[in-house]
Amino acid sequence: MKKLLVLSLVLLVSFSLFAQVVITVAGGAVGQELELTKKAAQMYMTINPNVRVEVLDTPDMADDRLGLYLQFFEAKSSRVDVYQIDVIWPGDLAEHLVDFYDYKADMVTSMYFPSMIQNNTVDGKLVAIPWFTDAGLLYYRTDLLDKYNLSVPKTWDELERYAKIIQDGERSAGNRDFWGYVWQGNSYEGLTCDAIEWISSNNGGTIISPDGVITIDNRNAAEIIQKAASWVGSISPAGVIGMAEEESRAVWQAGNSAFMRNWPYAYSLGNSDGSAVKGKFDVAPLPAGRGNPGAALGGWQLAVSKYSNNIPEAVEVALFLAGYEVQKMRAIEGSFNPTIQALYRDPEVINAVPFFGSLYDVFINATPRPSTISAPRYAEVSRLFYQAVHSVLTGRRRAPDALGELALDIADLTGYPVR
Amino acid sequence: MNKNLKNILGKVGLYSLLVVIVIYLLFPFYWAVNSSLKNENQLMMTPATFVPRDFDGNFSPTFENYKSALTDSQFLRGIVNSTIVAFSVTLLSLIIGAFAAFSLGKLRFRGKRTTLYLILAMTMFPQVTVLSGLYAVITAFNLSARLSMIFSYMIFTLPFTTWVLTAFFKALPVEIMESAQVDGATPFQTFRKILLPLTAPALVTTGLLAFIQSWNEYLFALTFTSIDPGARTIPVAIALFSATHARQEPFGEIMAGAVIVTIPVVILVLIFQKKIVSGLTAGAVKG
Repeated sequence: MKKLLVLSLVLLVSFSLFAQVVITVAGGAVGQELELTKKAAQMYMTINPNVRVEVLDTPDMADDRLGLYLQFFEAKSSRVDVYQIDVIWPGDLAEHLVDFYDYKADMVTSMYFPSMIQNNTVDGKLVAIPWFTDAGLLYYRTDLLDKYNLSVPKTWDELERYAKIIQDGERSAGNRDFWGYVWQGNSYEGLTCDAIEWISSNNGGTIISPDGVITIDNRNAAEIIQKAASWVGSISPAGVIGMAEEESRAVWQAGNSAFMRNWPYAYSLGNSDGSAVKGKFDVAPLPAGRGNPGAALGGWQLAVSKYSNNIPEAVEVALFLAGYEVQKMRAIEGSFNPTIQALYRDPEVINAVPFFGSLYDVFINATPRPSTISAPRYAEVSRLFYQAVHSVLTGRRRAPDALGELALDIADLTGYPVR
Repeated sequence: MNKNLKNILGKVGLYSLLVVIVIYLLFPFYWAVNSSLKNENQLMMTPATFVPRDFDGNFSPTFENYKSALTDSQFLRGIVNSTIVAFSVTLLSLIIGAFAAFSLGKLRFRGKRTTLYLILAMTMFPQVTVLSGLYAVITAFNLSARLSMIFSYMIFTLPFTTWVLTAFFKALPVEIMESAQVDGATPFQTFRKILLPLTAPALVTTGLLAFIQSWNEYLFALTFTSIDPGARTIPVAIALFSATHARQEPFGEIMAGAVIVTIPVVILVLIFQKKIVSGLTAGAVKG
């Protein structure tokens, strides 16, 4: 009798062990990012004891991570259920991913920023859910704007003028290293982001329109790129054509520029102890040309693998991680920028990270890069684009010529019509 | 008088040349140490300062970079991996290289010269050209990252060890071997008991160079460990140091890490200093 009891108990325990579903999330491995993901997993497990969420740390370089993911996908591996993917990957990876709309995601999509949902929608399928985000911002020195009695520039023309005034003033006051505006002009993906901000803010489109027409060869785009080229050596250092994010932040954080285009990460670093600009700056949406201000969209999404053995549970985990509660926790504890609009008005979030309040206007206007429409050739399209822009910045070509040629090159590559 | 002046001028010339050479060689290292003692804001200061200073110009070094490098688990794991890989490479190349060099330097067989040049030819290809091929081989054999690093580093350490040791074995007088033979020693005993102890200086020198090469190797390590971050060696771990923010480049920590990993090499060189000098000269001047 006793034996039977023990046996049935063992059976029961082992059965419940088998019944427990394990969901593996592949995500960022950098210190705090990993900690917060683990914490969120714990939050989920407390509510759903029948599911165990494991976090697999992946290489921290985006390219390495993509390589690893592709290996899993090619092998149709069920090792990982939920993947953390970059904003420019949904198009490339769509064939391996589950459509969230099949699992009632339409109930929640309205709370996210529309541009992000649009970016993650491939052929009408929502292949990834926005998790945390990034967008280009204008950093400006509040003390210098006060000193020269200027306001925050709303247009590129204003930025150009103010930068010149402050630069001339600071230089004659003795700081010979001072520049008006620093940004990312090196020939790399960062230039694609900067340039797409200029172009979209000047009603020049986004290289390839979402319905598959190559729109880059237009007068507005050429005008603004030519304008940016005129900054090199005047309000921006000649070396700006070799700068990435960190180089421009180095100029800015040493107190040597009035304006900077950068991502939100530079905010807390600029306010760190010993920073020359601590407490002397703020952020605003980037200036506009003929249209509305643009901001290149960055950030990470959660996607569920088609090869997962437990798709419904994995979708639920992904939606939980990208849900209000977890995003709020990550915003407050790690300053990760939420993808949920309401969080930018949540008093607790604003209290913890005050500058999030001014980010709402930026994210609502964020411009996705044409990665979804040009998949799987986005990397090549982007390379052609930033090389063309770079050739204008260095003065090798005029913008209209460069863009005309670029449109034909992209047409060769993608087969889309040129307008 | 004239001769005296010439002498002085000569000395001045010599020492100024020495100063130029020392600065040329040591400045990068000095700059790494200097940068490793600065915090991020000091690194961004313009003009750059020759010692870490705060905004008022006072000397204020920080050891934060060293602290965070030494508490970084990736960095520590990198040191362990590098030690395993570099020591295995050194040991294997010395063992195989010494056997090869003995036969190439002292034994007579057909195709000796061809063999020597074939070995030399292996070093002709730049690393990048063989990289993708090697990667294919490694995935085909399903080798672990550490093993593949060990084997691939031997592509450039082994020819070098073999050549230097061959020259060294050649220089050893034949009489030693002959007298050993007279005493009834087999070729292996001659090699093991007589010649090998004599080549100790050369073994140390080549071993040290092989060690440094595999300790510092970056390209192969980066490629082979891309899928297995746990096997990253120290140069890769340093290059991939991550800061608190995903886009931030932790320049100070990178410099601190670079300074830390030169220490084992410096210590090894200091220990074997005397042997290295005799090893380097022994091949040239026959005693």
